[in-house]
Parts: sequence; structure tokens; C-alpha cells
Amino acid sequence: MLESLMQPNLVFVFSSRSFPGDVVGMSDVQIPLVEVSNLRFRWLRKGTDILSIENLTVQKGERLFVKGNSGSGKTTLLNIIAGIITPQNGSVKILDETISSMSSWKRDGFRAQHIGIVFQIFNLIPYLSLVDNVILPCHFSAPRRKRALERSSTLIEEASRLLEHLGLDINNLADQPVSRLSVGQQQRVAVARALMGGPELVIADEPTSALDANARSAFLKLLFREVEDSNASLIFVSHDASLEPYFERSIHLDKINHTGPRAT
Amino acid sequence: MIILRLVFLSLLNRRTVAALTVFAVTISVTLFLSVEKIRTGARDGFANTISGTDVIVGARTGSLQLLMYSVFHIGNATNNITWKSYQHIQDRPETKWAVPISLGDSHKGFRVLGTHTDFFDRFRYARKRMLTFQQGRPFDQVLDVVLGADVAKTLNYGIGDSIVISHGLGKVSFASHDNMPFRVVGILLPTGTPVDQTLLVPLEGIEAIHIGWGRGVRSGQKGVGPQDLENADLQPKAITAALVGLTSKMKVFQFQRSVNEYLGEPLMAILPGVALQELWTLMGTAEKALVIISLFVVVAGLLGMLTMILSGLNERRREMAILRSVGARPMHIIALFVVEATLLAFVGACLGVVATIIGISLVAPMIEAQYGVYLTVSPPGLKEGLIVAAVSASGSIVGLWPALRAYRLSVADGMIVRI
Repeated sequence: MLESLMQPNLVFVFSSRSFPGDVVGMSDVQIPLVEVSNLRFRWLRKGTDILSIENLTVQKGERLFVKGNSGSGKTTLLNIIAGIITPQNGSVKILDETISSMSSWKRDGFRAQHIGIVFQIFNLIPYLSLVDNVILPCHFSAPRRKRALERSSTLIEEASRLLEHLGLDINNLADQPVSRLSVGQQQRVAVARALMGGPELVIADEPTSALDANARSAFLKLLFREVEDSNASLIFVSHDASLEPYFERSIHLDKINHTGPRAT
Repeated sequence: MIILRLVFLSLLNRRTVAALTVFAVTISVTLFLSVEKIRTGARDGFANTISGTDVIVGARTGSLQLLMYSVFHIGNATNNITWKSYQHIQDRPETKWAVPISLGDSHKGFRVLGTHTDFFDRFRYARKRMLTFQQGRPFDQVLDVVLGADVAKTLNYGIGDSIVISHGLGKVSFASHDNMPFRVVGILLPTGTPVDQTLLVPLEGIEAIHIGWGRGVRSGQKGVGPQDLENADLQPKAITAALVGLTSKMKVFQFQRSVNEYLGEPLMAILPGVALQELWTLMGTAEKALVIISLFVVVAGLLGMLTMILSGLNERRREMAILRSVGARPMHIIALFVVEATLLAFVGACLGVVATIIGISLVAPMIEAQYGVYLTVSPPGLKEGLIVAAVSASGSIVGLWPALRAYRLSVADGMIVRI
């Protein structure tokens, strides 16, 4: 049986403060933001497990790098954490709420309120303006709208503030269709959107894969700064091991995922 | 509402395809409404052709047949009625007036109708309208002829022109009454009834051209001409039918029974309205077929829309994933597609209504001239409102399919789409 082949639990060293100075004003008390425990997931009821994770915790304000080869289940894991799909076994807790047992209606609302997502490419809706793309989450989540309006007097102002913060000159860019923006610019708009209304968790799925090396490190710096400014945690998934040193903690998905003989 | 805004901007982004889709719906709705308009126009046209006449009397035949040949000049009389019978009808106490009509000859494919000058006073069309002259006056000489508007226009005749009437009804006739040419004395305004395609002559004129004829061919007598008319007996011996007005509408059935029971010869009296009703039941099937066909065209228009939305679905998967990631619920995704389909159908249907009104007002004069069908241009009413509502509702239903597919795709894709 698969279970009998399972390795003993790996112990993770939580070295979340390994980059001193990066996190300013955080208390030393670690508060878990995301807690995944005894997670089991398979696509088909009788199929083999794709994911089997004993334990995965992301602390508040932590920036976690999840490394995994393609096909290792990274995306599935992100979908589960974001509450798009639910695991067959185990639980996913975010902010002390068990999203894996919520109704899909509630989960959608929870995601809209607490999670910002940055995709690999094509993050923007082509027919919406730059600012409209950033404001989008506020249309689907009243709490995020409220939080955005606590920071600025209008949503447009808040979006502009975030965009400017990310080094985008909205005065010049606002009028052109978002599809004209460079990939780097698009990714920065995506970050602004993910942070709009201050969600507690930002999930990024290979957001730098379409960027060249220079743009990549510039993007990461901006991403980190913004995530930090809004006190959010970041789960960053990539197959690119060269990004690992930028993060305070990294895990290798293959090492925490105990799914039988599929990983070869 | 963000959904409306998203739908609107998204459609604007795909404006060419969206416009074509709307166009397809517009065309189909326009076709449907035009068919409806022409159908009711034709119906009204038929109903309007004869009014003011309470009863038509003719030789015993089918009531529909009598109506068709006496009023619409379609088909031929099976038999004539004698002048004596006509006089009997005229003399009945219920009769207010009785106009004889005599058909059977033609001129270049247009029928010649022999009648009294009373015809101009008694004939009514489109409810209460009377025949009006565009030029000239009614006939008063034996060889005078009054032309229907189309006859004058098509054959380019004017007052004073000389016309030879052919024997029989063929367009090309080998037997012509060339010995008795008629003179045009009047041209009528268009009426939208078969009168437009008719040459009106006095009953005596019909008798006159048949002097020296027997059994449908010219008999031995030669050299008969207008000079012989003075001494000739032009009293008609038979007519095709009589249009009768009664002193009171209440007496219609009484009169009808007395005509049907007339012993002199087999006669029949029909009520034009009742006979028309019979016609509708006959035409009903054809009309229904027409309506069904145009309904199917509307369905085809909506299917075109469905195709457009479905084929765009794959390209929009990423859009859906983005929307899901920023918190759009499956309900929102479904709404996005249903609203889009409804909007396209609604706009298409509204444009169809407008296009029909514009189109009808453009072609109405042509159709009137060509087919004698009056099409009235009226502002959109209840019927148009219902059509718009029905098409929009069907649009919503059609939109559910891509909506559910998009929903399923977005659930399957999660947030990460690989294309």
C-alpha cells in the first residue's frame, strides 16, 4: 500500500526571520496565517493522490517560496489554498477559518476578501483600463472595497497610489489599452490588483517566468516591498531555483508531498 | 453593476463579431415582422377590397369561387345569370341597389369589366373609400372605357386613346374585337384593389363588341362597326354577377334565402365577409407555414448568436480565471454570459423593429403598386413589444448554455489556465 511506503514526517525548520531587517515592525510572535494539515488530494475519486501533505504552515507576514518541478502539483496546491478546489482529506485553515469545509459560496467570498492572486502571464482583462483592472477586486468584495477606501478617498485614487508605488507612470499609461503594456508592466499592475484593498495573503504563481533576469529581480524587490507595506504574507511558487535566495523560507514541494511512486 | 459594465466593455472589445451577431438577429426579426406585416396587410387588403356590398349574387357555384371571380377577378365564372334574374333581384323589397357586372373579355392581359355607371357610386374599398378619378370622368357612351390606375400606367394610356378589346382572357388573344375600338374617357386613382388592373366599360359596350359573334367566335356577319350601334339592341341578356346593397343589414339572411330559393334559375347569394372568412381558413395553413418559417429564421439568428458566444468561449477562459481570482462567483460568470446574450438579442430585436418600420415605409409604395397590398406604417405597438420581449427572453435562455459551459470550464480550470 502507498501508506506503508510513506516516509516519516519531514521536520521543517521555520527560519522565517532569516533575513533580518526585511520585516520591520513585526512582532516576534509568530501567528500562523495558513495551516494545511493532513491534506490529501486526487482528481478522480479512485485515482492516485496528487498531493499528500502532512503539514504546511505559512506565518503572518512571511514570504514563502514553494519550489516544485512542473507537474509536481504546485498549481493544485495553490488552487486548494485559494479555495478553488477542495481536498478529499485534511483541512486548510486561513486566518483560523477552515476554508476546506466552507460552502463554495462562502469560500468565494473568503477568497475575494483575503487573497490576492498574481498569475504567470496575462493577468489583465484586456478590455478594462489599467485602473479598472486594479479596482476589480473591490467590485466583488465589500470588505476589500472598504479597506481600500480607508486608505484613499476614492478607489481610483487608491489604485493610482498603488500603481505609482509600483513605478508605473499612470499619467502616461492610463489611456492606452493594457495589452500594450510590457510584460513587466503588466505583472506590476497584477501586483497592484492583488494588493488592492489589503488582502492578508498574496499568492503568486510563477509571476516572473516571462521576465528576463534584470526585470525579475526588480520585480521581486517591488513585490516584496509592497507585500511588506501592506503586511501581507506571500506564497510564491516557481520551478526556478535561482529565486530561492530572495526568500526567507523555501520549501520543496517534492519533499513535503508524500505521494507514492509518482515522483521519479 | 460591474457585470453590466464588464459585458458592455467586453462586447465593445469584440465589436465586429458582436455587431455581426446583432445584425443576424436584426435580420431575422425584421423578416419575421415583415412577414407579419405583409400577411396582415394582405388580409386587410382582401377584406378592404369589397366593402359596402352586402351580398353578391351569381350563378350557383362555390361561395368562395363566386367571391374570387366576381371581386378578385381570379378564375372564371362557371355560369352567367340572366338579365331577368338580375331584374328580379333589383325588384326585391330588400334591395337598395344592385350593380351588374360582366366579365369575360380582356385587354392585353387586363380584365374588362362591364357594368353600370352606378358602379362608380356604389363600389367601396378600404372601408368607406370611393373610386376617384385621376383624370377624366365615368363612361357615358357605349364605347367609352375607364382605366384602372395600373392599366393606364403599365400600358401608358391617356385620355382619348383608342383601345381594342380581345375576346377571352388570355394575354395573347387571337380573336379581337377590333371592329369596335373603345375610347379612354377616364383614369382612376390607385385603390390597391383589383379595380386597378381592370378596364371598366358599360354593359352595353360588352354587348356591342359581341354583335355578330356567337359561341365564342366571329360568325358570318362581316363589316359590323360602330356605325351599326344606333339600331342594335344592346340590352344585355346575361351578366356574370351582381353586387347588391340592402336597405337594412338585418335583412341579409332573408334576402339570401329568397335568392337561393329563386325558381327561375339556380342562383346563389353570398355574404362577402363570410366568404372571406372561408378564404382565411383556406389560406390559414399557408399563412401558418409562412409564420413558422420566419420563426425558424429568428431561431437561426439566435443560433448564430449562440455559435458566436460559444466559439469565443475558449479565448475568454483566461478572462474568467482572472475574474474568479479577484472574487467573481460562478453566479457572476453565468450572469456575464446570460446578460451578454440577452443584450445582443435585445438590441438585435429593437433594431429589427426599427428596420421593419423603415423598410416597410420604403417598400410600401412599391408593394402597393405591384401587388395591390396596402402596408400601413405604424409606430411600434404591443406586437413589436412582445417580439422584443420574446427574442430577449430566448436570448437569455440561449445564453445559459455558454454560461454553464463557461462556469464548468472556470471550475475545471481553477485559477490557472493552460492554453
